[in-house]
Amino acid sequence: MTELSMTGPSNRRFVSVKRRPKEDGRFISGSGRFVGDIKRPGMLHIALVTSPYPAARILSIETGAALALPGVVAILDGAALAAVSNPLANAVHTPGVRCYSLANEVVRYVGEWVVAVVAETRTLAEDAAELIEIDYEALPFVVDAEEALDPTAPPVHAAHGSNVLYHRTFTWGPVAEDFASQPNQLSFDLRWGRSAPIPVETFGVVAEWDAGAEILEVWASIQMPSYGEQISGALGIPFNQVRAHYDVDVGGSYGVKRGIKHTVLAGFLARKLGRAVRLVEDRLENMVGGDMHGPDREFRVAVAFDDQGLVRSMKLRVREDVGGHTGRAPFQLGKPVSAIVGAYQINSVEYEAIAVSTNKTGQTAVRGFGMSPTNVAIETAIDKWRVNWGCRGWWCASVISSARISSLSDPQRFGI
Amino acid sequence: MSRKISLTVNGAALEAVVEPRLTLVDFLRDQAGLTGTHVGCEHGVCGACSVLFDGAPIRSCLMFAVQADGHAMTTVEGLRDEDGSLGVLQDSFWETHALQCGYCTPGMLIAAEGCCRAIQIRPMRRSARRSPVISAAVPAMFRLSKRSVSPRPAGVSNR
Ligand code: FES
Repeated sequence: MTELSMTGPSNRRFVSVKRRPKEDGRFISGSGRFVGDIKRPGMLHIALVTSPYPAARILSIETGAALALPGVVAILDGAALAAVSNPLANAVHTPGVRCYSLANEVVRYVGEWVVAVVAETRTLAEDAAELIEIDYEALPFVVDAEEALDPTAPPVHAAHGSNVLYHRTFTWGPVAEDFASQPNQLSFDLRWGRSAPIPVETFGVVAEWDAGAEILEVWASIQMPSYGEQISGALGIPFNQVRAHYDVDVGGSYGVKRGIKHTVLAGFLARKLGRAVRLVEDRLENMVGGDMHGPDREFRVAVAFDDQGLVRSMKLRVREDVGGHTGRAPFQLGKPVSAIVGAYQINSVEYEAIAVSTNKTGQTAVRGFGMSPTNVAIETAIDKWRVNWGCRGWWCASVISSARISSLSDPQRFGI
Repeated sequence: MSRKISLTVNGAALEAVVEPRLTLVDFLRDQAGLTGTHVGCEHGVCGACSVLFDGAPIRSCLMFAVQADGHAMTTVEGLRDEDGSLGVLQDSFWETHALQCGYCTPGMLIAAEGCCRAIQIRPMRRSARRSPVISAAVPAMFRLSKRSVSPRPAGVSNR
């Protein structure tokens, strides 16, 4: 066995050595390069017209006055975009659900983008956006996931035939037998409320089509993998024709800086117009139509314990309120499958996952891709169990933690 | 409609023609080319856009550029010492890694600078730079400022 030698901190390159973070230099001197600092020659700016309705049919869009404004270069609506691009990917099989950067035929939530205006400056684009007149026919809407499950509820994606986008039950081990053989059981409901993380920097993107190399250049406030793939998929161009510049500083994210719909829109317009196009959300666009809400889940949890208070079996039913656009929400219900027992060793588990559409803002990959709510459900079960057994008062915390430790997986199972 | 304004930014005299509706932060970033000042909330609650206006911190998203006519601004780019090296506050932020993503950091620096000026702490001498004292510079300044405003609750560590 090698003996550990005790070397002084000075012998180490990183650990215990006082170092100044390299990137701080540019941030404290005001020379960081965030997406709002990127300028391309002849760059155009996008402003958006958004939906004031949670559900409505788009009857007509009048753009004449806006187009006549000096400095306005182009106006794009959802029908024109849908005709030449693919729906945004959501990684789950949802027939009939087609979401694009701009609403096509119907709007599904307040703040959904309906029309994009491109002008020489952002100010001009906003002026023109105010001149666009859209006629809507308001439709019935649903904002409660339980109501949305009712077959008579207004359909959010009519072509899908139901508001249930995903419903599957996973079973690992003898759940029914374990519940039948363990008299110690408890069940409860738990709500994980919707959150809306707000990075101090809104999402932004600059796109430019390099006609010579036939490459879409993208600078964006992103921090996600598979960005280029999803952009190319929606635009119908090969993946190697998208060049994402990952050297752009990002002003906060919480997982919400995905910006697929933003980049598809800016990328499409940059290629069509042959000029660089910039879309930087203002704070209102960010908060209403940025699609950056987190999970919105209702759990029903049942747990069966043995006489030592160790969890033998667990049933989790989760209903996710996806919102009006699919985004990441149905897919995020899949992440708990890879960690369904948390840190514990549980003999059998049943996991029923249901994703439901409503007329709310869509979701994105907030904080850990949807795992946190499931962890809360599991940990709450452990807490409730101990309290149920008369474990109250100041010593409760230590009893709970010892229950946790004894339920924890055998380290050898992790190969440690 | 556009108006001509004259102002001083980081010690340099500037003249510009601006629309009356142009905010001061958009002017500084887009017309004066000083992109160190960032826009966060756009409605005066986050402070990312702070600049010194005649020596006191203001939120430049809440002012129009025309209101700055005849006044002097200091942005993060103007916090360096005269010889071009980092100002002591900037250096302290770096030493103590007083940031995460860095986006609001210019606003934090301007607020700290304004705070030091308000309570008349002279920024430490250059010779003190890179000494252990620097790492405590900003907390020390804030501790001092706190004491003058309200006493700390008993038992709360100063660290
Ligand atoms: S941008 Fe937040 S206060 Fe000005």
